[in-house]
Amino acid sequence: MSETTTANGSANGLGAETARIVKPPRQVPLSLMIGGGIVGMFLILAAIGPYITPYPFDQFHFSTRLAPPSADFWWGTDRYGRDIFSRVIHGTRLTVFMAGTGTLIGVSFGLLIGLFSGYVGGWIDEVLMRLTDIAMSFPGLLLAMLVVAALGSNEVNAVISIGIVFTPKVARVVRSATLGLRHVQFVEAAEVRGESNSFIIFREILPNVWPPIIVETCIRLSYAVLLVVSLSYLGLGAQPPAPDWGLMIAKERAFLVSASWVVLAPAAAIVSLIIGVNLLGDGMREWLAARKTADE
Amino acid sequence: MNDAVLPGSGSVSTPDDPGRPVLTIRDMHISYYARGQEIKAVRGVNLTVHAGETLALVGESGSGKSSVAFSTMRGLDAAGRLKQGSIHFNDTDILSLGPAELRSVQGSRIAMVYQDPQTALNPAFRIGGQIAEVVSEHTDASGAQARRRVLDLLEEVNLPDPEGVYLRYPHELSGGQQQRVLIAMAFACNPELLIMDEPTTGLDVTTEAHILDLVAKLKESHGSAILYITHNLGVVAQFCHRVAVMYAGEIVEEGPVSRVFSKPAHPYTRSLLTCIPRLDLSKHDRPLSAIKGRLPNLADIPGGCVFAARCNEREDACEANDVPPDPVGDDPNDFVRCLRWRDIPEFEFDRHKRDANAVRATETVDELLEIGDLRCYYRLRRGVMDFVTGSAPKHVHAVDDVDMKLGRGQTLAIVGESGCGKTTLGRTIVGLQSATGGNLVFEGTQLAGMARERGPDLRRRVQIIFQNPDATLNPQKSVGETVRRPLELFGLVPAGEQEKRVADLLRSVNLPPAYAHRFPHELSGGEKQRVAVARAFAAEPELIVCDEPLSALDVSVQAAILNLLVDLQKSSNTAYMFISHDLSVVRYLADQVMVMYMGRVCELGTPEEVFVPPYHPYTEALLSAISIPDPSIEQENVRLEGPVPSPINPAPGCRFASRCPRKVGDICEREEPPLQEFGTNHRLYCHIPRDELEKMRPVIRYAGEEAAVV
Repeated sequence: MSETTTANGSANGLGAETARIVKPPRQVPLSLMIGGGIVGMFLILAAIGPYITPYPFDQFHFSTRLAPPSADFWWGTDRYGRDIFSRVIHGTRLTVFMAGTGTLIGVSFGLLIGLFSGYVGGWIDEVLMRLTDIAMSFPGLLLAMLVVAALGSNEVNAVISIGIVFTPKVARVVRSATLGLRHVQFVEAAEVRGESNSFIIFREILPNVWPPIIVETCIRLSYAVLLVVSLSYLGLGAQPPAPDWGLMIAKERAFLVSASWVVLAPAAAIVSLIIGVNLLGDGMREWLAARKTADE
Repeated sequence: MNDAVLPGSGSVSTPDDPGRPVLTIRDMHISYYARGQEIKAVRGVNLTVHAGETLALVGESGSGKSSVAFSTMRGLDAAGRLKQGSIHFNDTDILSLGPAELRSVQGSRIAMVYQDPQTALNPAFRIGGQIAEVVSEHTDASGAQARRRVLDLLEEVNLPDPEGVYLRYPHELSGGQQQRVLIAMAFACNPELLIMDEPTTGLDVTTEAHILDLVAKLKESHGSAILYITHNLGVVAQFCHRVAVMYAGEIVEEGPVSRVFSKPAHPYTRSLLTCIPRLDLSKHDRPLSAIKGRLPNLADIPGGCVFAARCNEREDACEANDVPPDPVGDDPNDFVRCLRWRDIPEFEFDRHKRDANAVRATETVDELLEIGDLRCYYRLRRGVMDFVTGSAPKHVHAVDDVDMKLGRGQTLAIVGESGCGKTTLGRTIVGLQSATGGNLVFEGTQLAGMARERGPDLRRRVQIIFQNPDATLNPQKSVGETVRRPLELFGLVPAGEQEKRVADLLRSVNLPPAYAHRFPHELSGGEKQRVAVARAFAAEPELIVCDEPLSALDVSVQAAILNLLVDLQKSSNTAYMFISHDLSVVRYLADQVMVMYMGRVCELGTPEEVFVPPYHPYTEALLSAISIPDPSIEQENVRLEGPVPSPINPAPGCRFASRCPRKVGDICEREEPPLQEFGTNHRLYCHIPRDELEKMRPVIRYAGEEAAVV
């Protein structure tokens, strides 16, 4: 049969297999590029932000309070006449740093607990997993608030609370990935050789659970941004006059109607960072999956 | 039942009057697209299946046989594309059918049976409902009529208690029973064409024999034509009329089974037939003939004959010109694609007739491993209700009172079907699980349960090679790292010399030393298994437990790995405990054979003792079930009836009693079978009187002779 008939066969819709040419997996998914771009931009701002802003974040301009965006104040000013653009840029460092550190703490502890619990199994696994169940039965924000309330409201404790909220969630993900490798033959071969638990966990299993860990880290990071700004909004994170995004929304929310830029600017920053991190996570998942199938 | 002798292999002849063509495939080309490459998986395949005939499509993995089958049902997956060709079912052009027309043909006039029954049945629906759906979809049967029809079908495929099976869910049936259900479903509408894709590959040999008997019977009564896709030449010889041999996407030879198996013309077909170890060949006779090299890259196919690069008969002309089909007989469907087939010597099976009574002188060897009364039980989890009712804890008796000895440099093969405890026994010896009771003595030292509790020296001396080449290597480690680790861990070689030793080890398993820098995903299955062998030998062990190391490999690769294992054993004097379900492989490799059934030893002895009478009835059934691709060999037809009993708290008496075709009487169910010894060290656990055992007929014989093939 010639090419033309093949094309006819596909025209009826069910003959897809005769017509569809599957393109090779794209090297880098679009979402990964966009997400990486957004997150990269925020990282650069966090690094150099304080050196490029037109004004210091805490400089008052009493003559121009609640001024709308203008050539002098690009995103307007707040009730003390502080330049919102400068404050949002300054705040990037604080939010990115707090969310990043909190995530890092949560992922590190979660990783260790998950690997250990999943590999060793038995009653240790049972106890650890029941503890994570208890921790996970609290809504994330509530648990974080409880921790901060107990330790005191400041940036460091907010970061610690994020770490505590995330540890059990990451531990669960890592544990299930570890369980899948627990009885794979190369792990059993290591056991027959008599390798130590730490060799098997870190040298045999860990290199094979990176893909889910990377994806989970990206997901956690977007929740961490949300938690950081929520805690500050509630007054449990950064304290005034710090230019924290959540804090800015909380303090200026009374002017939402009359001078909406005071709230919209930090809100826009939060939204774009979270979208960026989510795209990065999605793209990462797609990319890792494509690489895996390509390898096979 | 034993007096029913089937002539065995090659008994199915071509129907004298070839019927009209049911399926006609012309000039089929299928390509897959990955990483921007076009992989030409099938090229220019022509196939005709006539009414009432069984055509086998044989090939190793990567030959394109399954692609041909799937595209016939228009079921290629998304990455594949039928580039060219025509498929006609009777006079219907399959490729021009609309979705509704296609559905009305599929399932009723063409049916398909897949390899894996577990994924082919929907686990959420009852068996009866799933078959009834097929019946009512394609006929205008009422609900009650459909039910009646399903019950008849279940009866027809010999499922016990059809009413009960009707209401059961797939997971409540064994693999063999599930495959019977799929066969019932396939025959539900009396299809004219049945496509079977490796329908018995995941099944035990005795189950496989049953399923093949069943399909042969149903084919007669329903008059269906069958396109049978398989890699197993033995099955083809028993069961099919014609055979088409595929290699790297092309049909290299096609013809009647009787001709292809007695006078194979293509060098590839010849190699396939000779690389399977036969029951008359042992490692002491000669190495197996393996096929050198690997499959050509299907994205960049060299011109000329596709097999040329691996062919021993190659000439320059083979690579220069395209090879047209050359008729072997008068029939246009009997051809070979080889330029040199008329010039190469006529094919002959290389027979090793030996005097069954001449027992090979058993060398005296030092004892390496002694197992006494070994038991491995798994305790089942008790539910809350078990505590309330106070019922006794239940145990799965995986291994029960096993006694054996293994000498230095010897090979002990453990054979039996899935669930017989052979793998558990192997895992206990290497220390992946601990025994419930009994003794494990290695060179006079009692072995502790788990590997970690044993000293480093004992651990080094006992190694393991696993079944699945894809899981045996850590995907994130290079071959060099994998092979180096035992050297490092056991401090066998100083750090500076490790690299050299790794290269030596790779060379010893016939891999180039440059492979040290490769990662597992860059290797073929056979190459991965070679690395696993190198890793095991890196520890300089005295005993290697080989847990079905060949079962996931193609036959040509199997032969090469078997030869490698034999060579390495000769040079290192390492003992093997070789766990397998493949009796011909066991015959070739083993010095001692242990047949296990449900955790118990049935029979133990040298292959020359175990493979000839007196047999344990279970050994007899196993031998009868294997399929041998040699028309000059006859086989007794022994089939096991009845279900495999539960290994949970097994009843006293002989475990095999419920399925034994030679059951003596109640005594089998009451008392443990006694040990009967024949010859020097041939042990057999059975109630059958000694003189009766000695009078048994050999199961596998050369045609027209009485002597057993060993």
